[in-house]
Amino acid sequence: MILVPITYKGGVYRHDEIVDLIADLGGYVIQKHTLATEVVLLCLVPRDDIPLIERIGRPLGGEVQLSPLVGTEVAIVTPSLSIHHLPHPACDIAEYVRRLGAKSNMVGLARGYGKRVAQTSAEEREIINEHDCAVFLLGNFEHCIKKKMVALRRGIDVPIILTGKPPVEELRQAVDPPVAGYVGNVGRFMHRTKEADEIARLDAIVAEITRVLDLRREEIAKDPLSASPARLMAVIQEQVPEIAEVTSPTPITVQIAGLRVKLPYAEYADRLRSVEIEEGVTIGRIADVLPSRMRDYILIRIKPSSETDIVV
Amino acid sequence: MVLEHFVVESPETGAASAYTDIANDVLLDHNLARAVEKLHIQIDPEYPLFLAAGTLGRLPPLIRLRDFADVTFAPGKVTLGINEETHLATLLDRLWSRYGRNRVEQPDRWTIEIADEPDLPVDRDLAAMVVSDPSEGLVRDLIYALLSIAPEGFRVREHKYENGRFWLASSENTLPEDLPERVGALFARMGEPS
Repeated sequence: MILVPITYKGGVYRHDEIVDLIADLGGYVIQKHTLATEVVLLCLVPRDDIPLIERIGRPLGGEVQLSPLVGTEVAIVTPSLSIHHLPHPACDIAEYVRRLGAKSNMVGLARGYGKRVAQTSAEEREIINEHDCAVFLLGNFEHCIKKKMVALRRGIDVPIILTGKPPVEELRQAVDPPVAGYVGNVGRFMHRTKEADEIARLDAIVAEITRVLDLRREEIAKDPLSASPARLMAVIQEQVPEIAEVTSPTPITVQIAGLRVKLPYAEYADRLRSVEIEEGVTIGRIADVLPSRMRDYILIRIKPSSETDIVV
Repeated sequence: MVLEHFVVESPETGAASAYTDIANDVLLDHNLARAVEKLHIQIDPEYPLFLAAGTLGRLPPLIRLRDFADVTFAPGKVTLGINEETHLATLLDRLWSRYGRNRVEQPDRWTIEIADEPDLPVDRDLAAMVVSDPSEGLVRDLIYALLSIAPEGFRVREHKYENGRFWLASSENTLPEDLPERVGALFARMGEPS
């Protein structure tokens, strides 16, 4: 069964029927937003059942859209958190990526500015490496991008998508060895993105993130994970009821090959390891339960089936 | 934005157009677009050096006491009837520092009384006293705006404002020795005496 990421938007009235339907079909609701009288469900559902969800949702005013970024966590990395880079373009991009289903986190580097002095700390690198991919928002000069990317990319293991003002070809030539993705004509600007050409630039960033993450998914599909991250989320929600008391918008953040569980590591790590998925297979057996560098959260990295000989 | 002279130069043409937009946005955001008359920016990413020079348009006039208060001299005291409160706090600061707190009283919101003592008389031309200079705030805002325009890594900075002319240089390295000549050349290109 192939699960496809979708966004369902509809009225609050009787939306629980859609939630039940998705569960019955073997899908998962990753995140649910209730905005006044509207509800937005970010879900993973079986590909063949999308027409059924559309048909049942239509009388309730529901619409279904494919959202390739649902179930991913993306780091939006800016050289600093000063007026030069925030709120535009960093916040605009982070917000746009969220609208399309990804969970985006802004990572403002302490010393990411300057072509000669730019650097990242061990903590920053580890936080970025906890994501599915990192979008580096650099500036307007090709010369500076060329110099500073050498330092900024050091120690980053996740795919990097580089954005800047120079066109894609120039960005490609400026960075050696190549990074996973490039988006040109972005750079540094100091106004809100609202014109059509500016929105097109945001769409280009989303398209590049999608392309890079699809490649990552293909890579993972060659050696499938021992369990789907969405399934582990559902199991944890069922067996660790304390997760329902977490006030974060996403108490469990689903990634391509893991989860971020927003419970304190010291108290809950052992309990999570012993959570049973089915017939004696525990989370500790098929995944590494690690302390996250983000607050005191827990990071679960699911092992590939070749390593565990289990697929649940 | 309509400036008499507005040029952004850089060896990378894409970057020059991006910085034109940035300068435009920043000046508009800080309400400086009407105050600045000429602005010329040069950015060299190789050195690296950010150099901005320009002139202000007509400066706002000085605020004098007579602009917002009536001054009445009476035997033993001088009474100020305040018509507008905007500059009241600044006025009180200036009066306290000039005459001392014990001689300045404010019996109500709109009145200030200064004790006029024969050995320490109050200035007969008090109404002409300068209370505030709006161009001070303008220059502060202008320098902040130029720092927002300049690339963030350029932390070595120098700036100057004099008689409506300003310049700011910033770099990641030490500033070049021929900076005065470079600034002079920029002013010359704007049609200003260097």
